[in-house]
Amino acid sequence: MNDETTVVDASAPELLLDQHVKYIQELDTKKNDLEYWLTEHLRVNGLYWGATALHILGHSDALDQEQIVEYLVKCQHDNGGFGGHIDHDPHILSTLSAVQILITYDRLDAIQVDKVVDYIASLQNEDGSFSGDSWGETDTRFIFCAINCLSLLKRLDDKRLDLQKTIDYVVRCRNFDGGFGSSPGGESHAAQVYVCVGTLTILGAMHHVDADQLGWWLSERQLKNGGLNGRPEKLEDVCYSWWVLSSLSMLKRTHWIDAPKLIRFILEAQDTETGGIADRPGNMPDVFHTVFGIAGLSLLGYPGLVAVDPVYCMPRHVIQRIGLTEKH
Amino acid sequence: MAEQQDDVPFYQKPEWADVVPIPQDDGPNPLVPIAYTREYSTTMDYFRAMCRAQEKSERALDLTKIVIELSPSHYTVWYYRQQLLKELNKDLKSELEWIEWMVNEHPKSYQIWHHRQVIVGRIAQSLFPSTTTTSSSTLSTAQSTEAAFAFDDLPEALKTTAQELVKSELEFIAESLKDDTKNYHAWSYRQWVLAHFGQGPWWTRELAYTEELLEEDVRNNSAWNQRYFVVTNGPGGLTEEDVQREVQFAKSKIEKTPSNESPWVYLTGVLRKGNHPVTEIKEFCEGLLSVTRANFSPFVHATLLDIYEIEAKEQRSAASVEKAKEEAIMLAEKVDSIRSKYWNWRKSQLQKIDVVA
Repeated sequence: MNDETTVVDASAPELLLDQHVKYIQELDTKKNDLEYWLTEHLRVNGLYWGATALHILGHSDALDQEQIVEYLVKCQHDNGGFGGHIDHDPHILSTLSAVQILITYDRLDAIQVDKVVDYIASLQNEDGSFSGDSWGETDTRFIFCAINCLSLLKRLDDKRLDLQKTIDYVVRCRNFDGGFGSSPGGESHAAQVYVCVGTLTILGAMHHVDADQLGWWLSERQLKNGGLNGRPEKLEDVCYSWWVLSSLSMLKRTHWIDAPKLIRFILEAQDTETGGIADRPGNMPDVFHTVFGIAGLSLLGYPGLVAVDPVYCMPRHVIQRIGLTEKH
Repeated sequence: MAEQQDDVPFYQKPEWADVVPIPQDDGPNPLVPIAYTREYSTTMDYFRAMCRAQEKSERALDLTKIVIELSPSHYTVWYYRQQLLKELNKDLKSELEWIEWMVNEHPKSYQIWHHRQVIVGRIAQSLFPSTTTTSSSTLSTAQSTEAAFAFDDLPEALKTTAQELVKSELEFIAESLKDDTKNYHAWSYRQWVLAHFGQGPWWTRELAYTEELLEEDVRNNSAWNQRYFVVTNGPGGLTEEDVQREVQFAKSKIEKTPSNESPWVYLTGVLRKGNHPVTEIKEFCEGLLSVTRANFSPFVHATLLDIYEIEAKEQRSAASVEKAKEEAIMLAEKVDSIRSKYWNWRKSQLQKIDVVA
């Protein structure tokens, strides 16, 4: 648990913990019409968002674990990859989410781990990047999914991988402002920064990052209202509380953000009627912003929350349980 | 919806009579029951049947369009559609028209933009001899600043074709950008188009395009990023002449909007890339201090802090340390107090500089 700290402003609203638990448990179409959650191709991702949020809130029993495991097993294909839902083609995004959920519930035994590794290895390209699926779309997000997943499975030493090329590719995505984009030359964006810094952290290649320059760029994401944006001159959004903060955490510079102001911003984006957190105060909540708002609060030291790992976005005790060295 | 000829759902038409639809399997206790409208539900049942059988036919192709228009982010259907387009040897130009319509409806769909890239990539492959060892493995339509075609080596006729193709793609993207000038997908695809066809004349025109966009909105960070992309990846790379021109350009924009982050970062980025010391713009920055609204710009002070810090280290000057400290204090206390922890850290770093008074 996070310690009692002085990061919370007296005037900030309180965390509606029980309401968020209920919100996640009740995620069904009668009550919500949330694009992310309701779109079937995102069901596995949505499960990861919901389960992770519940764990950080200290309510890991709030969902039926057996049901979840049974469901995920059905989503695994012969080639080892997981689809976003039953009968959906495998994709690296849902493969990572499935593995994260199973490890969080300590049920990796339920699936074929070797095949997952086979699947991910098959997605590496000549230039070191990873495609999202056999369709060929590439994006630094997919590199992170691959490396993150292999790291969780302790299979980064697989001989089919060329990790040096992966590092080289990520470095090519580093921009003149110190940030990272989705491909070489792509505009720096906080979410891409998270996946690139996460990749380099896991692979022990952080010397390629100018921590002071990038740390400053990340701290510049904070606006006067306390919220964080993802690029210069864009609007604040609660999910950047995660992308920016976790990146700063990996750079050991979280103190460069004004924590009380950001905490207040996240708490104000809560929906007091239904529970859940929105992208910004006044908007409709969804499970995506809920998990990243809660994870952000945990990273900021908000009292009473389970500690979250900034690299994996999973409960810290789970990462410790599986014996992954703390890299931050 | 495009091409909806009548109100009868496709699955009630005779040509679909032989197909056995496969119902949704949510498992025994559906965890996240998703409410379907009946049409969507039935459509997906038929789609599942087609997909399982991997049927390659016109009706399958039609069905992928129906499914996509109902649920554009359903990524499985896109891959199936691409395979069908190939197997059935369909005209890709009309596919491009449909994609343009879809992009208008769903400008932030990863799948639609990627589909465009795949189709254009295929069109290009059929028209031009490739220089890279693009393996026949479908795995990589990798985003890359590497060209798949050596434009300069193409015969004149093919050069014209390439230019036309690039031009129409850039126009398509520009249209889309009119609705959202910072659409990340659009910019990403735009970079791919520029690079994929080699070092053609479109690079120079792109520079002018970024200038137009910055005239409209000087705070458009995507346009600034694109400008950097163009000057560093275009023919000849970043020359000294380019550096001078870009420095002037950035300075002129800074004078208009001194608190605008993008031109500042661009300016220092170009200087660094061109191997110019940032101390070169000291006079420019100091000059801005006397302009009131510029004086409140965090970036004027931040840049001066960097400059004085460098001077302090290079000349071991206590006076420079003092000037740097003043900037840090100004930032922490007056001009950018939300980041006071960062500026105070910068100030603490100044104490470590070895000086000879």
